[in-house]
Amino acid sequence: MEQLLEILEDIQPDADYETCETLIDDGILDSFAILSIVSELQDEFGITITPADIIPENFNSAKALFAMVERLQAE
Amino acid sequence: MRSFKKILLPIALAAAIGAVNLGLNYALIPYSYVRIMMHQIQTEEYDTVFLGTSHGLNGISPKAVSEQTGRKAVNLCLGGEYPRDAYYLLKQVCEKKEPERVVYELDPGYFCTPEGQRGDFNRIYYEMPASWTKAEYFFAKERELDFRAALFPWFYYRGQFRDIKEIMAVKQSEDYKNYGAKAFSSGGQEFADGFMRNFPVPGMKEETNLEVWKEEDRNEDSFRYFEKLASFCREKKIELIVVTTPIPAETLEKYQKEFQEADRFFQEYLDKLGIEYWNYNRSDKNIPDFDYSLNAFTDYEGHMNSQQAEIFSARLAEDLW
Amino acid sequence: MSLISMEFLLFVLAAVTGYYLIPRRFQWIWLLAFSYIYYVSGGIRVTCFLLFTTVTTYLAGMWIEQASHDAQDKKAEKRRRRQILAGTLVLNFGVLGVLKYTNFVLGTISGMIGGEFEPLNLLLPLGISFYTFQSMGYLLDVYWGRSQAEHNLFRFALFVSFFPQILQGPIGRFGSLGKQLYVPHSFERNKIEGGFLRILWGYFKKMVIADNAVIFVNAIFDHPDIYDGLGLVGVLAYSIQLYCDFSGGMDVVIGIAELFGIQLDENFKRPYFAVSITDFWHRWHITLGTWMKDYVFYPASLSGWMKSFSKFAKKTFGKQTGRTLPICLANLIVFLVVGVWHGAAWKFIVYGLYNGLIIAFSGLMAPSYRKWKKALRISDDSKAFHLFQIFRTFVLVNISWYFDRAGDVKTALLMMKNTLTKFNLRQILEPGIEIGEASGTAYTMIAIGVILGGCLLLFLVSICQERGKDLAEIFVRQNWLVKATVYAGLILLLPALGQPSGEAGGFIYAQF
Repeated sequence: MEQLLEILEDIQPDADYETCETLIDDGILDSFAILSIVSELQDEFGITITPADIIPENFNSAKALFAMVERLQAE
Repeated sequence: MRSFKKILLPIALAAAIGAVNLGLNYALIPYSYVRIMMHQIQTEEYDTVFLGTSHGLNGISPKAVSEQTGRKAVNLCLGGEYPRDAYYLLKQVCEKKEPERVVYELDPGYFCTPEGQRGDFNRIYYEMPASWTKAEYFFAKERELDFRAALFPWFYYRGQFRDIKEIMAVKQSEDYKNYGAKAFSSGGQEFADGFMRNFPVPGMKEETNLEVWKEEDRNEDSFRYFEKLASFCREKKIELIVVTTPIPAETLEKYQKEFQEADRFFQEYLDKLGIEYWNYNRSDKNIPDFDYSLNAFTDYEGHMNSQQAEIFSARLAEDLW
Repeated sequence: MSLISMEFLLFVLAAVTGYYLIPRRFQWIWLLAFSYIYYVSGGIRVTCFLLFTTVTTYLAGMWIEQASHDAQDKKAEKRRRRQILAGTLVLNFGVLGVLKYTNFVLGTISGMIGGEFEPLNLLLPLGISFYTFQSMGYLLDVYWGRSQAEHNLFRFALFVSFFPQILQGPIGRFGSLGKQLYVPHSFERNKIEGGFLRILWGYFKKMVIADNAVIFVNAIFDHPDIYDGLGLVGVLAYSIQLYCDFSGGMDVVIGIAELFGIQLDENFKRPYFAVSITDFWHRWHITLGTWMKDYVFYPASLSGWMKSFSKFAKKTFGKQTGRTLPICLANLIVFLVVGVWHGAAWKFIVYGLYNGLIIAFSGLMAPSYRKWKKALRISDDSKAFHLFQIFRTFVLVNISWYFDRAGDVKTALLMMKNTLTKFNLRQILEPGIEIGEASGTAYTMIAIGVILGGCLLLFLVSICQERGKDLAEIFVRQNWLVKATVYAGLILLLPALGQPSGEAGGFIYAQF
């Protein structure tokens, strides 16, 4: 989880990732940021993210992102 | 009570808009000779009916034709009258009495241009009396147009707001009430003897954009409605003759190829339909005392002046008899 | 059937009246019947293309779902689904491509080899771009497991052909639109009143604002040599025309759907208040933008070869740039597609690439911008900076409109040059700009007044909306006198101040 927060901070510093649950719904992350995050997650965690995974529910909060990473690691 | 109010309100709104609408129609739409024509075909019975375009409106004197042939004629030609409009005008005439003969004045340009917003294109519908024909006409034409054409007839005359006073004054005059034509006399023309009489304007005329025949731009609706008109006449045993009015020699020369092509095309087309076609620009239809020079016509397109019209009408009557 | 024709009004009236009179479980069948009447009235031959897309997409959706259930081993299953998907995509986009771009491709080729080319007379089915995109979006959703496949062919046919939207969008998603189409709707007075207001507002934008602006646009862009001092007026008028024409059409479409109790996706959110080109595309033709994002941008970015490029880029340019570069590339692809979608011509490709390049550039520069702003102590929240951003974006957007509207790329560039060097407002009063049935400078002034007045009203409405006020909702709560006045006023303004909508009677986006 900490590793994930670091990545997020690095890509877009000005957001409160620990509490915010509407990163997509409120437009805090745009598509550039989303893809940057995806790219980093794939490198750091050795997972493969497909277009099917890019839905708001997976990106709205750091918690949701982490859950997605864990799920994909298990596959 | 509540549900009653719910229905009443939209109706009241529609009625209020309708009232404003009628007021604007009255104030903005100038008096037109189309109203006289509609009055004529509602109140009188005719044997010969002329349909067609502005060339016919300026070139055919129904009075002259009536006197010479002994059969009562009416000229319903109008600028912007496409075969579709002509067809429904004829049907409207037939609601009173079926004529013996219909003469369709053919301008090839009306068979290869879209029915646009020109001339009296919406006026015919507006002035037509409430009738089954009008309902049919609505579904054949107004239906496809901008909804403002049918719902707000003053739409095309909204630019007239500066002349509201004169328009209303005309409409309150005795002349209007009696379907008179005083309002249409201007420096250049008058509406008399049942057609538009242009005063002669001698001299050269500027070249204007001419809608010449182009087969590749065929307006299929024009052909479709012309054929409807033809079969309607056949059904009702009305004789149908097609004519094309003379145009200036200069114009004819410049667009020789196009005019010859149009003549050939329509001769062939009408032959197939079994309809006679008299094109008064052909050498065998040449009218001896008619002045074909551009000088005599009122414009490059070939709208006749009243003297030419009398000569042409006399010849037409002779051919019709 | 044009959206502004008498028959369309009668058609909608009949559809809505019947919709609430028949038993509710038949409502969707009623909509399907009217959608097909609408489509067939535009030509029976083109209906074949609509049927083709409907049936192939429906079958493919079912097969893909079936394959997921049947397959024994995962790999074979994946391959099978991929094959079905690819086959259907190729077929449908193939039809779209052949019908829309054959002439452009052949013309370009024959131009290169110096031959003469007579354009082929190809049918272009109404709304083919819109319904193809909508159907293919559905199929990809099924493939990715975001939606379930629709098992009823007729229900699916309604999703593809729903009549208010098939002509010019918005491009709907099966997830949100599908559900609404099939459930019963009861008569709700508020929705009817709101929908009616929305329709009138749409016609107002189209007939009063856009159709007055188009006179200036056509005069100036079609005669750039005569009106060389009016480039600025021309492009501003075009930005007004394009927005009011397209979004006005959307208001009519969305309003009509509201009469059926169906909420379509919004396609516009005050685009000229955008603070960046990215933001602009989140506010302009939104459903096309999100379609591109979900079905082109993400898949392209996540594809295998893009991953390899990403690895290579990170090694070569370092982490930050290396990470952004592949995204920029995917973004350029998207805007190339958007450009081509607008039309088969080089100017549209330039138009697309221009947008793509600006977004890519600002994406690459984002970290630097952050540093600069810190150094200059500019806060994102400051009003002045916000206005500056809006102005900057508006200028950038208007530059792209030159490409969109001018005859070709060369003319666009020349007009931009003249805009800067030859500005001369007095040309607007020179005779020649024909105002409807009457020409002359007196009418020019009236038209300018109408455009400015209309834009002021539009601006005030937009400000309220931007502040989160739901004006339709406020409207339906007013008493009957206020409502009646607003309705009557809007209705009478259409003929009083509007211009005839051209011979085709069409909306710009209805040709796509």
